[in-house]
Amino acid sequence: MNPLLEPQLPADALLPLLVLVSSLVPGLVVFFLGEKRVRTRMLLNLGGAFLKLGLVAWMIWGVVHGQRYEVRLPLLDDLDLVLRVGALSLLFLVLSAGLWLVTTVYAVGYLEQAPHRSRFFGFFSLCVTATVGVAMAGNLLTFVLFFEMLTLTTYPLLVHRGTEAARQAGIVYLAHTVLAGVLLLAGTVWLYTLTGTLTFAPRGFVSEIADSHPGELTAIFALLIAGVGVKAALVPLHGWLPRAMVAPAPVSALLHAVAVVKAGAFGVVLIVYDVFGVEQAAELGLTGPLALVAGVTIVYGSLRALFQDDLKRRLAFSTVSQVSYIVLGVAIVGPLASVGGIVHLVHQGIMKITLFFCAGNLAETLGIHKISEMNGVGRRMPWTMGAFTIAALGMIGVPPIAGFISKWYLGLGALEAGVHWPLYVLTASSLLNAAYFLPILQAAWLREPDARWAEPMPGAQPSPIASWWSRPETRWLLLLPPLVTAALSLLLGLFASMPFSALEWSLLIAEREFYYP
Amino acid sequence: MNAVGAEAGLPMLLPALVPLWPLALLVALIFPPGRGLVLRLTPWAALPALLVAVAAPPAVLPLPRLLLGVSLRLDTSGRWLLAAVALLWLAGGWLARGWLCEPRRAVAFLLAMSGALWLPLASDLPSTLTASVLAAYPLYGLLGGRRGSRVLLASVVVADLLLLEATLLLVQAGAGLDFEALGEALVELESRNILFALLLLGFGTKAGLMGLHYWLAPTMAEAPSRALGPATAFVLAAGLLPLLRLLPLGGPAWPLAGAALSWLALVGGVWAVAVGLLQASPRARTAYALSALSSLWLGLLGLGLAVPASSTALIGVLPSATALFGLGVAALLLAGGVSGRHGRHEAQALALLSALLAMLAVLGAMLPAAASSDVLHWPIMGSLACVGIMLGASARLPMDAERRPVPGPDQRTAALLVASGLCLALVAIPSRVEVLLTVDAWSVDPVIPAMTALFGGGGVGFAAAAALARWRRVPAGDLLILIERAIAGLVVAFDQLGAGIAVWRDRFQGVTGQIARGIAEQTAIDGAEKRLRRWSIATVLLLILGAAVALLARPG
Repeated sequence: MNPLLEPQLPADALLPLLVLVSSLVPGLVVFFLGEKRVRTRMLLNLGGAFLKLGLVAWMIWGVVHGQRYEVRLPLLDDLDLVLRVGALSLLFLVLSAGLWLVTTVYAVGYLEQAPHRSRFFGFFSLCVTATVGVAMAGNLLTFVLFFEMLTLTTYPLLVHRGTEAARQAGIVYLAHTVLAGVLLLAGTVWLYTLTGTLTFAPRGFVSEIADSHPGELTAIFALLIAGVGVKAALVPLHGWLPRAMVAPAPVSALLHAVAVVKAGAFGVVLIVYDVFGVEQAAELGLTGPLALVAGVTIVYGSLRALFQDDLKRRLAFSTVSQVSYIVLGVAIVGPLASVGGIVHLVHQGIMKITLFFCAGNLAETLGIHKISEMNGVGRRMPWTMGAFTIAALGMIGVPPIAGFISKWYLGLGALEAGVHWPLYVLTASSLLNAAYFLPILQAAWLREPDARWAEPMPGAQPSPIASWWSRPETRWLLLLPPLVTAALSLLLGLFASMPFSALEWSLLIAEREFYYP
Repeated sequence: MNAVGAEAGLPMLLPALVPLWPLALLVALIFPPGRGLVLRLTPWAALPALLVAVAAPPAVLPLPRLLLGVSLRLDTSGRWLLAAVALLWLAGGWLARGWLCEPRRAVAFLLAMSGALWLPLASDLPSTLTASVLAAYPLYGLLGGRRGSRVLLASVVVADLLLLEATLLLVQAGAGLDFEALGEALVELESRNILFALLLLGFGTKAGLMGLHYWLAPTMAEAPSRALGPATAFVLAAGLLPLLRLLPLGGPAWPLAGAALSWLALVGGVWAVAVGLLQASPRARTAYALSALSSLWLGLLGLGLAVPASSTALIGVLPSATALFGLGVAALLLAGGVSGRHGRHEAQALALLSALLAMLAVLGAMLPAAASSDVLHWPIMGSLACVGIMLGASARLPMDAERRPVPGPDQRTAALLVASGLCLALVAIPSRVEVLLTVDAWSVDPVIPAMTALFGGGGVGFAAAAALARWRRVPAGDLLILIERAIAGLVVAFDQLGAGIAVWRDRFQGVTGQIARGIAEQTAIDGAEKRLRRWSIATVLLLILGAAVALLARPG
């Protein structure tokens, strides 16, 4: 018997709600805290993050032992707000909860002396609430609601600095995401009129009407993918992402690794697997064009990254490219490709957040924003650049870092499905990744340092970790998160075959999608 | 040195000690109290590996939870290469004693060493790729990040991608990930020729095979002395050894692959001579000798593929031959250079000894092949002569008194490498005799032409190096000039493409911006917006929208 269908304990029904509340309540309370209530704010944020992580760990234990978590809240006549935790949603939940914790630590350090911290952390927590809501959505309506909540809660983070560039970036972001929301809603409503349900199901819920409404289903698929594709930064809907780099580094890290972009990619996965079903989508001829869009995005993003001197913009275009690995894996119909796509959801998030943390450290400590300013920075900030090096090599797909595992399964999956062109796309992308990451490493480690920051900055406080190298690097609140995530990037690759690794979890999800009767 | 026979218990863990010890030192660097001690130990970090190579029993250590499931294997071929790699890294460490005072440098040194020591023990492709990465990327830093090492790194990236493709194709065809399974699958597949080409390109690049050698001479010419041993170790362990393990020697005959490798050996040898003799830098010349050796080595592998009867003998001797000629070449690299008036004869003698060690190694590899074949393929003989020429030419030190003499430590280290190589050669003699005794009805007749080609070629090369001293020089890496021009052209083309895209994007944004501004300036829009801001109108519109949604949402 499928363990997901066994009845659950009554108390456990509250767990999904508690996961939401663990960030919602702190977020709402933080809004009303004065700017000087630093310790209270930090306790609320960190406490909520730890609580969320603990609850997610409890649910992992439960799911592994056959427990099922679902909450239904009546919303409309035939439609409920459904929060459900299964294998796929748990994967995204773990990513979101874990990275929210490290990002919170980082943000506390980054915004130490910045204004409007209560506003920032309030929306920060609401953003994560929306993200976990997306992860736990049990039907398309719930997904749409939290997806749109994500838009509304990330906009204030994006424009936090209040500069003209930030406002412009916010306008572009809203224009893209609101339009996408309209498309998503239209697709959802249309689908509901045809099927009478929006509840996610293994292998989808459109198979009964697929023969009678193929054209409509194709149009609905396009609307839904366009709706989530904006946040997933699929070309040509990606334009908001590079502009969004004007936001503070914690926001960039959150947007790229956890919240917005990942939510978009996760949406693609849900639509293909749990709305249409991957085999049904393939029968309707939908996966081929999706794979093509993903392939174009992968190469385009890498090419654009090559020409950027601004470090965060280069990382942004890298994200455009890398997130489409997930879409490619999903669109290549086959269990191994699915494994590659799903596991990359986790791997890319962890590696990319490391890169953005490091970029933030360079900007905050040394005022470095451009790659051309990074000569010799490895001598000045060896730990930060060490973390950057690990994450960058992972992006290229160098073993034993996590990115290699993703590319291995994507390549194998393409061959299993009988299509070779994704292999060439992955090869070209890896080459381009090397072309735009290796020069950064070469400049950082092997060139002579820039005279203006070769000496420690006046007033820089030596941190406990930096003192190990007998020179101050940066505040430990900024240093610890990228070290942790870099170590995770390495461990997830090195121990990919261990139980409960991201890879093993992805294998379980793919098995469910392709092999359960 | 024993045949493979796995041991259980503590000896099984010894292979893990080899790559882990440098990593343990690296971790210890974090903690200030012991940092001084760690920095003093770093140059000697390869010593445990040498001890394991010499004294540890054969072992297999499966690690199914690591990466995609890997294993470490200490067998005969791995043992020889491990000994050579350890010696070369000890030589590098000795020369880098003063340079390793900075933790940052020690980190790169230890990482590269860990990967290099892992390579001889890796028994599957994923761990070979991982070890190769670990060995190559920090090695780039040790080499100084100059032009040659940049080319090396770029080449390694491309080579690894080709190898990954080949591995995926093999796995998709049903092969396991370990070398034995991959080799067996390789022979049976229809696409084996393409796979063979991919593997040759990938590992051949790292081995500096002629045609893929463009990085080797510039790297060796520019490298500091301390990095010469490690760079040579990389060629042996990341390039040559995996091919020995992967190619299906002893299996069904594969005449096409055998012929291809034999002819590649000849063409490569001739090319190496043509370009190598005209090198300005003695180290570049020695690098070409190494490339010629790699080509010959592959030719011998080809002989094993074409004539399976000779493969048993080859498998028995090639690992030791590889180790010995690696030591000889590294010693040549260190000894090569200009000696001043004082000590010139000693330096020349050292260079000759180094070349002789390499030649003995090659001869040792040739003997069983020559003895067990009715006739040695003449491409192999031609390649052998070319190797002899290049080794002889490399042994000739330039007598230019204007140049700086080779530093004392370099020469002493070269002498130690030669001495170690000769000791290992003595150890290898019993195994040679054993191999010869297993060959049915072997004859010395084919051996004499081989010796003539090798040593005669050496004499010719030694004389030619002086005779050609006034000829026009060829840039180190020869092909590299063409590759760099092609890449520069591509970069310019991409730049222009990027600029073109930017122009069109700016135009598009200009047009949309104009439209947006035009819309914003329209008073009609202003007026409509003001009307919309009234509660009554907004509420009515919301109700209409809600009714529309409700109508659409009704089932049926």
